Amino acid sequence: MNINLIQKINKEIKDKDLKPTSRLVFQVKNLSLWIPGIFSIIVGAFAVSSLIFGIDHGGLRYSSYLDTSFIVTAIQALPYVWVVLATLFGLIAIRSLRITRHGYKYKAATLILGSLLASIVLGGVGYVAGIGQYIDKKLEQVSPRMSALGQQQVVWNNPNRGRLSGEVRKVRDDYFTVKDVSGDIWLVTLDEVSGKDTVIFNTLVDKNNKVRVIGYVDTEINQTFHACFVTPLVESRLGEIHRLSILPYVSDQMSETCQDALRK
Amino acid sequence: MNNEPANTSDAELASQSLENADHFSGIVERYELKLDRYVRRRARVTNEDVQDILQDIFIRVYTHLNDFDPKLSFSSWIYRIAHNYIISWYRKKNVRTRDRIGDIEQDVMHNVADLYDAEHLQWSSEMKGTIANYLVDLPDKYRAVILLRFFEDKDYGEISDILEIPPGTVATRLNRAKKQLEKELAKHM
Repeated sequence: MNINLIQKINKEIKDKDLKPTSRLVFQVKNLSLWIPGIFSIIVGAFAVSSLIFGIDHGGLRYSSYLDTSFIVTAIQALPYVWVVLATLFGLIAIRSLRITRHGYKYKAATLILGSLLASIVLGGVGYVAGIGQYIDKKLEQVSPRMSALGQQQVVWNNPNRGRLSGEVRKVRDDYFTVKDVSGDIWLVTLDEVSGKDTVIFNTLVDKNNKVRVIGYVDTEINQTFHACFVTPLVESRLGEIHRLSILPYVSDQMSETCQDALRK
Repeated sequence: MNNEPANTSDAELASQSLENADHFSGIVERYELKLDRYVRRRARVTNEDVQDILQDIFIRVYTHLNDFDPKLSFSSWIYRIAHNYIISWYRKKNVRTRDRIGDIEQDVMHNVADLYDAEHLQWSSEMKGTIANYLVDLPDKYRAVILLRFFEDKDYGEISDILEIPPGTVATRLNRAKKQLEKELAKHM
């Protein structure tokens, strides 16, 4: 036994008037360790909310009209900035949760699944509450490529391949104009659009709304696009059933030109 | 010298120390030799260093008494403080933790050798000496688990609490450390 050490410790305690640090200090410190983890889960939830929004509005059901496969369309629909952010903050969340008081007891897989699940649940709730759409709108203002809708407009901006997307500028009975992501203005005729689609178009699409159009380029008149069907870029949130009524399809009601154009 | 009854638990002693600092001597008394051994095994230190390190560790234990988590054993908690202190001490000194395996205790080597005996491997004294030499070169994370498991007789749960890593990782590290040692030894067989 080293009496000397005990004496030295007692002396130091007395000389420096050392006292055990208050329990409250440790409680606050332990609670504060959760902050980065919780913050990361919340950012992850925003990411998930935006990802659901991106996939939901990724035009996957129109993939048969694109020259890409369903999987490629799905990948293109993902807002990459959120994929990167979700991964990054997921890693931060795991790292942060690990340094909490009992975090070390859990396997990395448990922490990954736990934080992923929390982000998915919160993100799902956020999406239903419209947060995904709100964030996407804000991101689009910063850079279209960062937002799901901005990306959709890029993917759908290929008039020569039968698809056009952009912002509606002028609306008339038989045509409207669209400004695509490149800044080009297109005159879109509605003479090939079936009656049902026209009604839906009129009720759902207003000036300054964004649309996706499937059709074909007029070979004689410059910057003119004949629409076979038109749908708003933002249709609805999950669970709303009116989307079904505007599902486009190649129908007998369409003109032969349209049917040919859509089958290409 | 402290006269705490032997049947007073560490946690009770810690609680009493919060009320009256004099009781803290009981904790120092119980853990001084254990931590002295642990510090010497973990670190290349002089006797003077050991005294300073131990004093700092116990002072830290005293000031952090309110942070003791009763879900842990007091022993694991105090070893954790010692472990973290040694790491930060080395960081301050800007040197790597290296063991004094050169004069490592024979009983410790028997503990390590038991690991191999369990697998029906027999080692000569010379081989045991070789194990000791290779322990020096093990990465610190492997050496820490070996020291706690075979030198301090801690179980996986306690090692997990001390090093703040999942119990599965303790098992993995022990396994890897073992394999690394076996690999080195195979070269000399």
